[in-house]
Amino acid sequence: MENKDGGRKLICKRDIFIIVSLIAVFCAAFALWRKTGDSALTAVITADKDVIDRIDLDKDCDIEYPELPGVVFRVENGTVRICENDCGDLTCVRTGAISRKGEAIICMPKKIVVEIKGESEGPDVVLR
Amino acid sequence: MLKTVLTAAELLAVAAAAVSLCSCGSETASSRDFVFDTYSSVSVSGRDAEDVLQSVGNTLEELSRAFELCYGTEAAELPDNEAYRDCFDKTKALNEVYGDSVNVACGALTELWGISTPNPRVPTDGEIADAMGNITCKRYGDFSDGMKLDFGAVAKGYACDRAYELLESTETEYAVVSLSSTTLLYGEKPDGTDFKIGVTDPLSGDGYVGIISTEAAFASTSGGYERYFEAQGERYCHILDMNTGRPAETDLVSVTVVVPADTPNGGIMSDFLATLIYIGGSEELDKWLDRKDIEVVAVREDGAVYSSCKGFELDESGGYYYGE
Repeated sequence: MENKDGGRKLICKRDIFIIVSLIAVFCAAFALWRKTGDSALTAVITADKDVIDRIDLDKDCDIEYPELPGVVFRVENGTVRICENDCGDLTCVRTGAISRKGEAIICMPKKIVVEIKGESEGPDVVLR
Repeated sequence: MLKTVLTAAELLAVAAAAVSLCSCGSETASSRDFVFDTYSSVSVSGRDAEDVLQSVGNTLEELSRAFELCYGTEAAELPDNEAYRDCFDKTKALNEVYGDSVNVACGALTELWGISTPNPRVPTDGEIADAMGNITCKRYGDFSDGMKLDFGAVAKGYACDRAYELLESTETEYAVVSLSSTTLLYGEKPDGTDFKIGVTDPLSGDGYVGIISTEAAFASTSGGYERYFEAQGERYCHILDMNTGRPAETDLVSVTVVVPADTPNGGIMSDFLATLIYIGGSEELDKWLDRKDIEVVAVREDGAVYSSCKGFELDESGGYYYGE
């Protein structure tokens, strides 16, 4: 009722509502985006550059894949390692457990890479 | 009323468009591959990032294939390749300053030990002496019968130098070329902060000894902790000391050398020196820590860490401590 000549105002109540709701949507989208970027650590397993699996490191288990015979991955206390491999080289088994972003286990004979992803903080590169 | 609503919506639309334009101004591209008997990753940010990435990838792959061919082929029978001559000459120049414990004319010896092959073995003293006789080679092309080249100790550093040259001819803002044990950190990150390098914990293999913060640089790590073999109860690491013809006997477990990116041939230098300092052991460490043109982080087998690196932060949770 007080806004009889609201048409002359630069911004009216409805505009404010639209702006506020748009900002809210942006904030929600941003928060969601940040949250997915910051989610718990994930180990990405690839063989010859094809992604075989992404595994969360919060559940302890042993994992085998039909496409990677002879290899056993072990998730334990937030770490992952290759505990068995018939590749003959065994550099991957000796690498031991990894748990931080950027760390990786590499099996050259089978071209398997296990790499930790998911945490936003971490070095740009890891020397190994 | 309708007009003002439109204006507000338009303003938001323009703002959104401006934001998306800003973030698209320079593209970023990255790729991963298996080259140099290891896992590599390259990421490039700047103009034509996809094309630049492609040419860096091609260069790495070509060099990797060329150097791989050296294993098992007599030097005299290698095809003509500018990279062999160039890398050979650059390593020889380093040999003249720093000595011969890292040498590229050592292929016969690498093959004899078979380290990094499925069937390594401990050769007899006679066999080692024979293979050692082949190592004296002053000039490229001056190859004796049976001489083989092995660029293993410098190939990745050399490849990073070539990648650097390539990037210099482009409008790349920043790039990270990682060949596992050697890396090139190029340009400047968009937020202006230093590059961060995680140095793998050599004793547990999990986590980092510490993090190095640095401006654009080449960096290499050498260590015998990942590749080795055991025979008669003894552990032999994959790094051979060319002065003795045997696997390095050193009390160091990991040596990292950081060389500023604008150092000519800084890549091959960082790779070469990391191995040389590793072989030399903690006894010879002081002279390297005193140098102003390179930065060194060395880890001894008892967990003592020695660093001349201004931007190094030790991770004490791994049980490491500063030596002396």
